Amino acid sequence: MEQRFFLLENTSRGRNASTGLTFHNLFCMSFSMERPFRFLGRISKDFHPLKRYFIRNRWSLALGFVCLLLVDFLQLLIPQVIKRAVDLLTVRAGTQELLLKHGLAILAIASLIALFRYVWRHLILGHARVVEKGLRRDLYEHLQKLSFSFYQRTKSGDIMAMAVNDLNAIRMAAGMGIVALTDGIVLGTAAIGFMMSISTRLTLISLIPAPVIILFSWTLTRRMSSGFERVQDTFSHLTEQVREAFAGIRVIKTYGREEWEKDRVEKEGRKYIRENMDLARTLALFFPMMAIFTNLGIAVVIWLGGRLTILGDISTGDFVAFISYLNLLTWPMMAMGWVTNLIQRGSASMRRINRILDETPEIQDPAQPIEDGEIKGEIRVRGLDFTYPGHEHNTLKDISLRIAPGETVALIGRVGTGKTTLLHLIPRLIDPPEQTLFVDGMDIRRIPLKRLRENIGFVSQEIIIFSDTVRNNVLFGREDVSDDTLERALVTAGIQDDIEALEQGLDTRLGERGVTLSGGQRQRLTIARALIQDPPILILDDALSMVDTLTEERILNNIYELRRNRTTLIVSHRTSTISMADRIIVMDGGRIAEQGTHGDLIKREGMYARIYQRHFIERELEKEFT
Amino acid sequence: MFGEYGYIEKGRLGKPYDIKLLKRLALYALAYKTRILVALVLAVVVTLLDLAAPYLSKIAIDRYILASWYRVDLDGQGEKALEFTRQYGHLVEKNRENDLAVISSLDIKEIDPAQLHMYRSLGIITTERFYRSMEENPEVTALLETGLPFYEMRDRGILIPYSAIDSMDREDLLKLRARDIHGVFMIGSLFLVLILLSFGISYVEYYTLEYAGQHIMQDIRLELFSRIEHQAIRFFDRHPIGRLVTRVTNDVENLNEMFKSVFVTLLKDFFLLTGILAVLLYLNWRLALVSFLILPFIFGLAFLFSKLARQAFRELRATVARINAFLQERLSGMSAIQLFATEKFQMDAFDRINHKNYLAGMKQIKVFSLFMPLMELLSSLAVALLIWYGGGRVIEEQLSLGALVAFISYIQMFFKPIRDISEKYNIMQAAMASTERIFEFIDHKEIIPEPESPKAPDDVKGELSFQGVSFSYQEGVPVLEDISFDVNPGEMIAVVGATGSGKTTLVNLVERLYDPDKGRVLLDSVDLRQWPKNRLRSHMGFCMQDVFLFSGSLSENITLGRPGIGQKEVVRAAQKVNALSFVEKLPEKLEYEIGERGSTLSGGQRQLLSFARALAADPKILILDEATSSVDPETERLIKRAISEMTAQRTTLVVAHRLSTIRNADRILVMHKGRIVEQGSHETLMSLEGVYYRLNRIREAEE
Repeated sequence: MEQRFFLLENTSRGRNASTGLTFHNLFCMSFSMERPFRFLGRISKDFHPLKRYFIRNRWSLALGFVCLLLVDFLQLLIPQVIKRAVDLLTVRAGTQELLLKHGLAILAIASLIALFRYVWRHLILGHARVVEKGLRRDLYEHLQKLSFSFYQRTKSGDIMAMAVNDLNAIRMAAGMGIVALTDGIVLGTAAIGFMMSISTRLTLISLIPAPVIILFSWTLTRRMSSGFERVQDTFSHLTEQVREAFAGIRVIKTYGREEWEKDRVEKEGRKYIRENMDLARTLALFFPMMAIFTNLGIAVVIWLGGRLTILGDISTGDFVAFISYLNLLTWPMMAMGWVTNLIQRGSASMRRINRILDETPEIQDPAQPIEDGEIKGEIRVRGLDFTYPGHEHNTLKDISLRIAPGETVALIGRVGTGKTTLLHLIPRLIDPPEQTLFVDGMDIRRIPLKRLRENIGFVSQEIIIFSDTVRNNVLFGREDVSDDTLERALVTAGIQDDIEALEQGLDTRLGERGVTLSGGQRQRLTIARALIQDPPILILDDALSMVDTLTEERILNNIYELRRNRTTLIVSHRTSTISMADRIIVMDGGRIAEQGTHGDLIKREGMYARIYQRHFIERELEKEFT
Repeated sequence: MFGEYGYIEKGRLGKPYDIKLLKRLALYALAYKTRILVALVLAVVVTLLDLAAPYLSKIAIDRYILASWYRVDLDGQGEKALEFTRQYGHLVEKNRENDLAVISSLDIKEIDPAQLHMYRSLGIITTERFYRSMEENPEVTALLETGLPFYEMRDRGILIPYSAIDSMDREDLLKLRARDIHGVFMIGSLFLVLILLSFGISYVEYYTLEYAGQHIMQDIRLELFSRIEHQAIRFFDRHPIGRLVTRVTNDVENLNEMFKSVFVTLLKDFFLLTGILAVLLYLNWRLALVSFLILPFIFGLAFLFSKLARQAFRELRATVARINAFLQERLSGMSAIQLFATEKFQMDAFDRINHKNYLAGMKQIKVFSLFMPLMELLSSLAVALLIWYGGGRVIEEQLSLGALVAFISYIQMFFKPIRDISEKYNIMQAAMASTERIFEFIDHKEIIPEPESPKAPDDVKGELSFQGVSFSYQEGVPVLEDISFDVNPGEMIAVVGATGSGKTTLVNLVERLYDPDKGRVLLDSVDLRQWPKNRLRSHMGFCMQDVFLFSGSLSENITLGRPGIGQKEVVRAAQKVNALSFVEKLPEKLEYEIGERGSTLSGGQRQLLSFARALAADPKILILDEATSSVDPETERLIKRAISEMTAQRTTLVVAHRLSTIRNADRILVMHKGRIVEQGSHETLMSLEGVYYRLNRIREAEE
């Protein structure tokens, strides 16, 4: 009874898990002679990161196992008591008093079972939760060390799936997997032993279906999980189709194409149905399968056991007990098939997680760091070529540049010309080749990471705001920041008034279940975050794109004012805000195309002048009406 | 269970059932009523088959294994014997010599227990047991000749005392009891047939229901999708896409879960429970009633459990959602975490929510650790009760041993459905919440209405006019105020203004994505609200700044499945807007499949594609939102040429960002804060010496 529930629990979770192993593979794996060992070897390697949790929990695990074994043993006693009672009744030797004793014996055994079961569930399944929690922590801790490039090639959805779904699979393997394995072996063997003691022949014959059942349950659970995977796949296609329809609703409406889109969704829906029906063919087999093993055995017991009872070879009580044992055996049989899948699935999940845990951070602290001196903010780039790994073309070509301490430099250029890449190199979000990028004359690859980054304030294009209070989002874990510093940063970023307008001010929660700020407000908040430490180098990568031109100008003026003698690098698409910089660098195709002051560049009538003209109308109109 | 589409549903779970909603759902099921009915009938059959198993073993034990007859001694018992004969004489059989009377152990329970006790103690019914053999069997006859004590009955049956049988050798026993051995063999075979039948029927039943369920879901999904799709754009402004997608996919999926668990499992469980109760009452109503004593405890425990489990489950789900939300934010914001070196702070925060998840998990384990063993304990309690009380009834001959064994099996069967029901409660609750949300959207009607008496000229010239149009998205925040202008057929009008001046809204109104609050928009002197929507749209072409591409081929993206746009039209349109030049370079040309979200095409190529899309139906009116983003000079040139090609001889409304485009326009509207501040041709505006004049002067000065 209890057992079946776990199977169900597992199958519903199975939807999320994937194994990546084909049926054929597995078939070969367990049925050739030497492979099981290699298979076990691989599994123990996969699960290696869990070792320390197993060692840490060894005592409670041991106790849990003792209880589990006791439960298994006690479970097998109940049919024995029933047998005795039935035998007493058969030979008419039963008295009410004797029967009461038997009833009480059952009750006593059952109470012990309940007690021990409570204990093992608590200890073993609790251990699995500890493993899950610990591994999740390890995973996140490691993730925090991984570099920018890792996040560019890895979908965050995949990692999230690991932190939840894969960990589920691992928890199942580390908890129920172990229980099922133990039960399968211990309860199975012991039940068969008890049955043998009644009648060897009957036992052997009634167990004929057993291997078939194990094989079936194992094949079916495999087919189920691959079926679930395909269902999940078509489900995400369907989801994507629906998403696309709603994202493109404007186009659909303006061309009146609602029916067309509905047909497309219907088509994906039909594919989804097809996969579901395919899966249903397996599931429809699976559930009746669970009953058929016991029932086939019972048929044999009625056939043959009935005969043996009639002939007096076994007692009526034996006959009844035999049926009970067969019922008890259903679970270990199913468990044997199930547990392999459970462990394989857990093992596949472990491999996915191990791939991340084994990933070494690309950006490392220097082996021989330069520690001394205060950073003033001189940036020098020398003959820098940069190519993203796996890309054919250089993103940056032969860049040489010197930015004096205290200088304000603006970068402008089309999308994809390397501005952001250049900026990302400075705080080592990505690594430049050695001896190409220097801060205050030191190769940045030799400055300790923490020190380098503490000296750079970086505001990226993407607005990164967490679901937390405004204060935490600005302080970002930094302690000892005085209220004055905080306020000055907020005022400079032009967000102070907006925050004061919020009901709980700085303690207002943002994001999910909290207040939603506008894009511009969020951008200004991230600027305030960078201003807090008043870094020698400030980098604003298109950080005010969602703020209107006037506000942008005001904020930039504040920043220029505040940072008169500190290095500032700005990327913007608005020529009006860029024109105030000490120097403008125009980038094109990974190179520096032009540089100079606004006046110089307009005179040159090159690229900058053209960009400037394109923004002319909007800019002038905005000015015109204010 | 299924990956939520980046959107986690908030709000509390409601009640597990709501008749009104269920009724509405039933309407969708009606289309598949035959299948559902068949499945339900099959479910009943399967239940009956399941119920048969313990009963068959009862028959095997009582009729074949333990079949026995008791001697009835009526001599010298006087009045009581007469009373016995009067009441139960029909149960008694006699032998030919008339010196032996016996009664079958199966018939003995017909006798009232108190009387039976008395008859037993008086020795009317003795404890001497006989085995009854087949009437005519040469092998048995041969056995009898060996000197076995026996009695021949009136119907030629042979009675042999058990005392004699117990000392028989195996060979003889086999011969004597051949009938019983054959009997258990037949029962075993019948059982096998029933198992296979049950297996086959379960399969068909499951498959049929799945089929019905999947199709009902598809119907609901499509209806819901279609309803949402037909809502006005305002509706989409308010609802994030993630929520809409969740509605159509995950919420409908929840319904499927409910369909399966309610109509299938619950109904089956209900059949099974009723079946078990009925069989138990039939077997022995007294014992049945005694064992029902345990029912309130079972239900109570199940109810308590479902409540606790629900709480634990909800808590667990909430913490998982928090982990998800946390990770989603931190993973996409990892660069900020590293740049600001705030790893430790974040790690602490993660530890906190990870620990909460652990605690919630432990709470769930606690609930299950209590419930599962307790439920098993109750089941064992029931068995103990049966052994004690039921065994007592067996001693009193009130109950056959086989019936007791069957009783034990049935009671154990009884527990599964009850736990099922308490588990299903969660699914039901989630599904009801989903149903409610689904119907809320199906019932929501925020559509741009079709005209009641549609009016549309046969021949469209393409004259567009705004008459005193005011509009606001939010009440009290006007976006357009009293806008009036005319565009003559074939004319090109450029709209100029700063961000937020209302240019885009103007376009939205022409497309009739919104209806004006005040005033009218007219096409060929007919109010847009009177045009049949599809006719209206077939006359217009749109090119927006951010081009939306659908998954599928390039040509599909141009036709959008519009009737009357074939391969020829696609090629012509693509050629006209200079899109063919890049299309020809692609491996599959127009059949080229666009990657996810059109990522494989450049911005300029996407622009050209949207031009082709707009031009394919040869519209009378063209709405163009000029792109501000930069593209390479070559594509820039292609786009410019395409625009001048497209706008020739079409009424064109262009939201312009380039002075060159503006100068080509027949007329210019200068907008500011929802009003037209200047309008007229280039020359008119120049002579006005207003905003437009100053724009041009600054420009000239810079050049």
